[in-house]
Formats: sequence, structure tokens, C-alpha cells
Amino acid sequence: MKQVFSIVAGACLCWLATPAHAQFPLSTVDQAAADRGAKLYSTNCARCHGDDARGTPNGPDMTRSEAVLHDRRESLHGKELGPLLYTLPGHSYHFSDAQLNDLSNFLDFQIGKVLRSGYNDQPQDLLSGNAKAGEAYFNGAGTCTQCHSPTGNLKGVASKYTVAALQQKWIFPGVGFGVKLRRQASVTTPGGQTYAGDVVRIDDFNVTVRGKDGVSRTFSRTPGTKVAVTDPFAGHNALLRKYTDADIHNVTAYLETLK
Amino acid sequence: MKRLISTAALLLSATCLLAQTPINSNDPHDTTKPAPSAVRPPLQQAAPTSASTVPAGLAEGQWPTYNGDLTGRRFSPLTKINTQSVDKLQLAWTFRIDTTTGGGRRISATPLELDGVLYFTVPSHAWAVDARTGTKLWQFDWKSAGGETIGNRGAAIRGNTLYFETEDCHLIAIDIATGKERWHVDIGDPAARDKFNFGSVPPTIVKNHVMVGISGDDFDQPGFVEAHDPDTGALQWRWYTHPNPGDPEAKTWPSTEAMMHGGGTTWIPGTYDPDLNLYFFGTGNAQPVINGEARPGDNLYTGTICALNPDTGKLVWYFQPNPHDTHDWDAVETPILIDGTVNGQKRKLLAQASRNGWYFLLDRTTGKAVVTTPFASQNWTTGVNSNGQPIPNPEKYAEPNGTLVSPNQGGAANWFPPSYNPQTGLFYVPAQDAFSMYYVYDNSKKPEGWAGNDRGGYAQLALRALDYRTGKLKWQHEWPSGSARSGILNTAGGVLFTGDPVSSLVAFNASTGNILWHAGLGNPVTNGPITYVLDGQQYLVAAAGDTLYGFVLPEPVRTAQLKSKQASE
Repeated sequence: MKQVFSIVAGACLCWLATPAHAQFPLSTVDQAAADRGAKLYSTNCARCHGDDARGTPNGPDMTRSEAVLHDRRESLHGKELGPLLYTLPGHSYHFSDAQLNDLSNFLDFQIGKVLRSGYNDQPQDLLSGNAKAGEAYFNGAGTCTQCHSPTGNLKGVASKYTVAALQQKWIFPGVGFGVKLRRQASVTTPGGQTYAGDVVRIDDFNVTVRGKDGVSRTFSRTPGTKVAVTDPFAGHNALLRKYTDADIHNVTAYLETLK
Repeated sequence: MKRLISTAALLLSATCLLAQTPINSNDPHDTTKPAPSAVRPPLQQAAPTSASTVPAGLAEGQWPTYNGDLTGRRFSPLTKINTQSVDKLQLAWTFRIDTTTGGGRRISATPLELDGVLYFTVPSHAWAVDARTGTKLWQFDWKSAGGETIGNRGAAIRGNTLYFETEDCHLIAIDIATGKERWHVDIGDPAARDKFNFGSVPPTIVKNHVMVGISGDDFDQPGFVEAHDPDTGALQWRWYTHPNPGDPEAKTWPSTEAMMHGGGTTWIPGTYDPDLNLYFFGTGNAQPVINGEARPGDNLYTGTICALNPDTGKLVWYFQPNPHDTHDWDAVETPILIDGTVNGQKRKLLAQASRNGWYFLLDRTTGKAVVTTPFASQNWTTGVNSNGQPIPNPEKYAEPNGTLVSPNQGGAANWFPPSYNPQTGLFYVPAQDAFSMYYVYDNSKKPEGWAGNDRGGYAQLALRALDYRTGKLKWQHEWPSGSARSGILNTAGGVLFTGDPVSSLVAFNASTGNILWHAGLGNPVTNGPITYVLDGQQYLVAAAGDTLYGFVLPEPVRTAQLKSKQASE
């Protein structure tokens, strides 16, 4: 069973990856059957319906076929596909139940590839930028050197992350797991006392800060209570309105040189 | 066998023209007229409807439809809760659901309130709850065959029947007195559940038409709206959100197959003008999602505001706020009807703050744009064309190595209900200024499904109040933190209610944007708040996660009487 691909498992990963997470009805693919089905398909069907089952000018897209989708949805294992394969014009295929099951699994596998949990969801060609131009942007218009240095806090940064993660990390450093820097708040009470520290929680009504002593204190934002918040990533956020996509790809290419 | 015959016919088609099962087999290009066999014979002859065109109740202090009435305004005429009294609101009751759904126990439905009873839904479950006490009257549980359960936005009521959609694409009719099922029918033909669609949309009832939309955008299937008979569930008509082959609008697609698999699902209930007899609703994003290389053109009627005749299911006009979508930005956000004055002229208008960051004010008689202007950060256009449509900038299409785009996939607006207050002339929207990187993952010749996605992102959320005539910002409240959004309620008491992005239900002065009151609920508000009056007391109800919270402004005399009685005891 270890080869069984679970759409549901994919959907769970998607929950983390996308705001519009998907939860599809359970559908599992027996990979061994799908592999057998792939051979059967390749020999008998691919010429008209395409190697990837997405159709050709000579035959419709099988991953969009309502008959195939119904077979998948109802886990029919090819039972209703069988008669079609010898009654449709140009079709005279009399497959066994086992073969139909294999074919059904192959088509289900192809459908899984289309769903948002199924494709290869990795960015590609991420080093298409010009590292020299990226370095110039880093040292110039990007104003990155105000906080960063390739021999200081960015030393070896390319070794820590995949290129895809690196690109996301430098564009949106305040988002995702492992963000170490928090917003800072300074709270001055009506009595004139000031408390400063990491923002643990803030809304219009209360603010919780954790001081250097590790203690969290919550203050109601009543009249006379002053709260000043600073965001360590404000510079990055402001640049979102300035970058061109070429700047982004150049800087990624440059940062990738900082092994 | 019937299934075999119909599926055989589908596979026969090399053009895929038949792959969407047109419901008029006499004319496969006509998706508006059901063939006789597509309509179930009524179980009984429907009695002439006595229901008025516009549901009564909002003016009487009830909340009878998803948006309160069919204008989409979410504006209650009640005034007991007002800018002076709102801080005296008290928690009256809570009601917590204990039924697990696939999407978690999250109430995103806007409850209905009729005759002292609240009705609301989560995927495959519906409740009737005493509106004074929060006591359960009945619970209806549908045994689902499975489907996506990200939420259910609510129900509709006509007479003594409640209607709602299930995630496995059934329309259910329930007796509101007993909670017992009257009937159920499939949505879509074949049932849309085969095609990765799911039900989440509150039906909209106009005259004797129970109109339902469909959700889901995972598998390049065409969206549709269909109308059912309120007494039998029989299909009256279905309108697919694409042109018919041969229509001029069909030229906005490269091929019939692309058009027939171009998406445009109908996630949100529409609005209705009885004078024009037009039903207005928006359609979802074009598909395949994110990668639009294989579908050059505007891709009508995706990302489009449509006006249908509810008696015939015929399209009367359309306006497309989001041509050639490549960012998962649908245009389903509630199209609010405004009777206003522009440049000294009285106009019948329709306003939408669209997910792509643009505010549109249309003439709802013609569909012509009056105003097109951004209401949030956006970087994806090169300008506005002569029809008032934003022009997509090809440089901001997704790429395999990423493109920085604003707004992000979540959108400058989303399904969270906006509101219009005729007293302030302001259109209120839960907005965000957001950026993310868009990547193409399926770069093949024929991308399908979700052919890419966005990653990461920055977002600043704000409640924005726009002058409806211009779309210009009148005031805004930027939230200090958080990422959750919720719906908006306006009242004639001058108070606006919405959730903050963290955990509070908040009341604003609708004119100034000043905060007047709040209540911490432990979770962000997950629906649109409603208000109603019973026994002279005005209630406010909102959901946060698995719990409905009922607040009340105690009637002063009764409070005084109680205090007097307690003092004498």
C-alpha cells in the first residue's frame, strides 16, 4: 500500500500551501495497477487520446471525459467504461475486468496530476536573472546594505535554503515558519510608565508585549495609553511597491552566489 | 443504461461540444431551454405563488434572506441599536454546533431570522434555533457522498420551506417547522459532484424560481446557474457561464473546447431588481487557473457580472470586471443595487468591489460602466479600456520563475459580504492591500486544472468606506494585525458591524469610522452579522468559528421593571 497515492494526503499538504485549500472526495490510486494501465493505454489509446490522456485533434481529452470522471467519483473501476470501449465508433476493445481496473487507475492517476495537489508544484528557472545586476541592485537602489551584508548576516545564506525558498524568504521575510524577528511595541501607560518588547498580540483594544525579561504583559488600549509599533520588515514591505520582476530575479541570482 | 447511453454520446464527441451535457438535446448549443426529458415531471401541480417578488420582512425587523433583502445591501432599517446605545449591547445567548464537517466546525453562513427562529447551515447540516434564547429547535443532517467542505454560506426560505445546497451537489428542501426533508434533487446534469464541483451557495428565490449556483474550480468545468421549482425541485432552466458556439462572445476563446472547459463558477448569491426583472450575479475565475497561455482572449463569461431574466434563464447583459484571469480572481463579490444620483441624474446602479482590486459602478439597466477605479493596491493592469474594464498587463501573468503581483490570490476583496448604507452613501468593503509571487507549474501545451499558484505574501487588512458615486475612499480603518475577514452589516442607527481580523466583533460609526463598541469572541467572526427585533428588543447575531453569538439591547422599560422588582424583594 505504500505506493498508493492519496489525493486526500495531497490535499492536506495543499492546506498549508494555498489559501484555497482543497478537500476532494477520497480517491486512491493503486500505482501498480496504474502502471499496468499506462502500458495498456499507451498501446491502445494514446494515438488518438494523447500520451497524457489530454486529447489530440483525433480524440477527446480523457481527463475531462464525464464518463471517466464518473468512473473516478463512484470508484467503478472501469465497469461502465468497458461497454463504451467496444460500442463507440472506432472502438472494438474487449478488456477484462482486471484490465479495465488497470485502465481506470491510470486515468485516475492522470486526473490526480491535474488537480492542484497533483502537479509538480516547484518553481523553475529561478536563476534566470543576472547576478551582477542583482548585486548592483543590492548595493544601490535596493538599499539592502542598510541592514544586510554578504559577509555578515547573509553569509552563506544560499546554503541554508533551496532557491525557491530563498526567493520567497527574501521577498517576504516576515511570512512563514521560522521568522525570528517580531514587531516591536513600546507601551506608555497613562501613569507614564513605559514597557517595550516583542509584540505577542495586538488589536484595537489590547496589546501584549514580551519584554527582555521574558514576561508577557497585556495592556488595554484605553485613552491615555500610547502604543508605538515598529515592524522590522517595514523596509522589505515598502520595496514590494518598487521592485520590478527583473530586480527580483536578479537579486535571487545574486543571493544564490552567497554559498 | 441511460447513463451508458449518455456517456457514450459524450465520448463520441471529438469536439467536446457535447462534453458538458447541454440540457436541451434538441439544440445542443442552447443551454437555456431544458429538453422535456431534462425536466422532472412535477409531483403535483404547483399552486400559483402568493410570494411577493421581494421578500417581506427586513422592513419589519426580520432577516429573511442571505443579504437581508435582494438588493445585497445588508442594511437594516432598525434604529434601537444606534451610535448612542450600541455600547449597552449585552450577550443574550450562545449556540455552539457540535457536528463535525470536513471543513471544521466553522459557521460561515449568514443566518436567516423569521418569526423568532434563526436558520443557518454548515456543509451538509442545517439548524433552526430560537432567536430569543439560542435554543436548538431542530437539526437536519444530510448523509453526504463527499465533496469539498470549505464552507456553506446559508439557506433560503420560501413559505414554510427552507432550501440549501450540500457539498455533494444536492438541493435540499426542508419543512421549516419540523426540520424534515421534503425532497432533494441533483444540481447539475450529470450531477456536478462528478466534476469536482460542490455546493456552498445559498439559493436565491425570485417568484417561483429557486436559483442555485455552484462552487469549485479544480477541474476546468463550466459554471452555471440553474432554477428549480420551489414545490417539486424540478429543473426550470440552467444557464452556463459561457457563450454558445457561434455567439460573438465565443471569439473570446481560442476554441470551443477551451470555452466549454473555462470555469466561471457561481459561488455567491446574486441580487434582484423587480422593476427590471433582472437577476445579477458574478462568475468565477477562468480555467485552467493561473496559466492562461492556452486560452488567449477575454474568456467570457468568466470573471463577469451577468444579468439574467429569472423567468427564462436568458442573459440580458454582461460586464466583465476581470478579463482573461490568470490570478484566481473571480468577480462573484456581491453586486449591490444602489438607487442613486450621479451627475444630477437619478440612476439605477450596481456596485461591486471586485477581488482584483477594482471598484465598478454600473448602470444596472444596461450593464454599462459608470465608474472604474481601484479601491486597493493593484499592479496588474496597464489602464482601463473604453468599456471601463481594466486591461491586464501581460508582464504580470504568472511565470515559472515567479511574478510579483498585487493583490494576492486571496484578493483585495473576496466572498465576505460588503454592505451599502443609503444614509451615508458609502459602500463598505473588507479590503486588503496584498502582494504575492505567482508561479506557473504546468507549462505544457495544454495546462489543465490548477496550472500554477501563488506563494507567500504580505497583506494589510482594512475596512474601507467608499463614496459609491466615485469609488473614492471616504474613510478607512486599518487593522493592527491579523488575516481574517468577515462580512459587514449596516443599520439605520448609524452603526456598522463587522469582525476584526483577530477575535472581536466591532461596531463602527458608519459616518466617521470611529469604533463605538466591541466584544471579544475568542475567534475571528466567520460570517456576516445580522440584526432583527423581537418583542421590541433589537438583537445582533454573528458567528465566530463553531459558535453563534446573540447580543441584545435590553428594552429599557423591562430592565427598569426588573430592577424595581429586585429592589422590592
